[in-house]
Amino acid sequence: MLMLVPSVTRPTKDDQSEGGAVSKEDLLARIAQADQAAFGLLYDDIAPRVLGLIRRLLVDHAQSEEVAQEVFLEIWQTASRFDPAKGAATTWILTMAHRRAVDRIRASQSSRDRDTKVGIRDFAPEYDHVAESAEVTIEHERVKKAMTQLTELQRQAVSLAYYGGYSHSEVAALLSVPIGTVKTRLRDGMIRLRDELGVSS
Amino acid sequence: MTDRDELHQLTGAYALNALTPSERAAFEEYLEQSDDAAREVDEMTETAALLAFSATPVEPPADMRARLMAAIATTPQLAAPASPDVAVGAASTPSTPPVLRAVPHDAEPTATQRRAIDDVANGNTTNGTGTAAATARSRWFSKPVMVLAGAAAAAGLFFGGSLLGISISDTSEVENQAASLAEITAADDVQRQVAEVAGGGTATLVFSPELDRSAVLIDGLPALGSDQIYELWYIDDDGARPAGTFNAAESGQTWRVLDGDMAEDDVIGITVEPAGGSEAPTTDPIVVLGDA
Repeated sequence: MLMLVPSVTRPTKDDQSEGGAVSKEDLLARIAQADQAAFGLLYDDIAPRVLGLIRRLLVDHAQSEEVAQEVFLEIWQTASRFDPAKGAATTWILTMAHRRAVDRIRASQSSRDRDTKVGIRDFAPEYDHVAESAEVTIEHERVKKAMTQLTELQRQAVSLAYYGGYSHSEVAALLSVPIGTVKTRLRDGMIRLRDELGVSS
Repeated sequence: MTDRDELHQLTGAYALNALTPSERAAFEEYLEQSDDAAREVDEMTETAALLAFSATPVEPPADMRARLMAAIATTPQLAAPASPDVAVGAASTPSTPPVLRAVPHDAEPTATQRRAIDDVANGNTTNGTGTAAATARSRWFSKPVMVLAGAAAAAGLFFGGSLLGISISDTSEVENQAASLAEITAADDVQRQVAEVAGGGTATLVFSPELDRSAVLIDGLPALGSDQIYELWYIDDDGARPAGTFNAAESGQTWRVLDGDMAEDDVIGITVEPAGGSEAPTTDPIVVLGDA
């Protein structure tokens, strides 16, 4: 399960202990040096999160597992390109996972399959599910709360794009609003979320 | 509203991966020039990653870990920019055959991926990514230097040298083939097509109209007796031109870069021919690829 370690108390290499307290940033640095054990630790740490996100988008089990494997292979291959100065390891990995899932959706534009499978699914995030670590639950709650601060249209547009993997033109069609409006709503919605979640660079 | 203003409106859609490929490219160009937009995208990307926390974690099947651990043991890594030789050297002597998956035929590599493929194949990290690294203040996430399983297959074949009809000791030919395959895979206009092979297996044609080159990868092709060989053909309205012969690999994937040039209207066929090959096909193709 994913551990969220506040950056101020993130363990350094010197005080790392057994049991998952090693930061993902450190693990990536070791993976970049071809450390296979570190790869195993990182996998154990974040694989359910990666697979969960991908499955949220693709729905199909087998395809999701395939894409998750590709993502982990990509992590192995490109770990040297991760730069901790530019952002958190979790962000790097989940961004990669999201993009690969979306790539898969766009590539198999028999997304009609997906649509019928998904139906008119409610794209609001799944909030109550599964026992999660306290840290994750906290993140969960924060996101949920931040989402409520968006306008209806912002929330729908962001949810369809992020959790549904829809392009802005698909979102526009689904919501019956002009593309320009969708672009703007995606931006101001994300700005609102950023501020609500206290993200700053 | 100016173009720049309009592009700036796309920060949210970009961070959510909601742009079309052409918009994405245009936007990334804009990002190179605008620190403001780059900062905004960084923040939004981090915000988007937080949205992932609303997706319920899914426990992967137990064998996924084992598969991955086996795969990485033989998968070359992109070297760190400072020391381009380390990872390739470390990966060049796999103790077990590379774990290959069928080329994902439904996913076209992006330009960045293709550069990465090239990088892996060449053991080289400066080409193509250098400018990005120099200019992109923080675009590591937006330009993921990505290697698909297909590329891993190409790279794995390159390093592992699993072969077909070419003696494994003939390393220069192996390297030529691997270099050609990497070149085709890295071409801007690379295309893939997959077809079922009569009698079992799947054939994937990888070709670049720009380079006029093509390669065929086949999964599960049956081995032939010593008096027979597989032969590749360029086929157009005037008939078939020979494009090289090969034997099936003992197990797993067989691949070969075709001899000669692929013309625009050619399709690719494979037949079973008497050992030594034929000037013209003597049997019906077991598979035909490249017909739109």
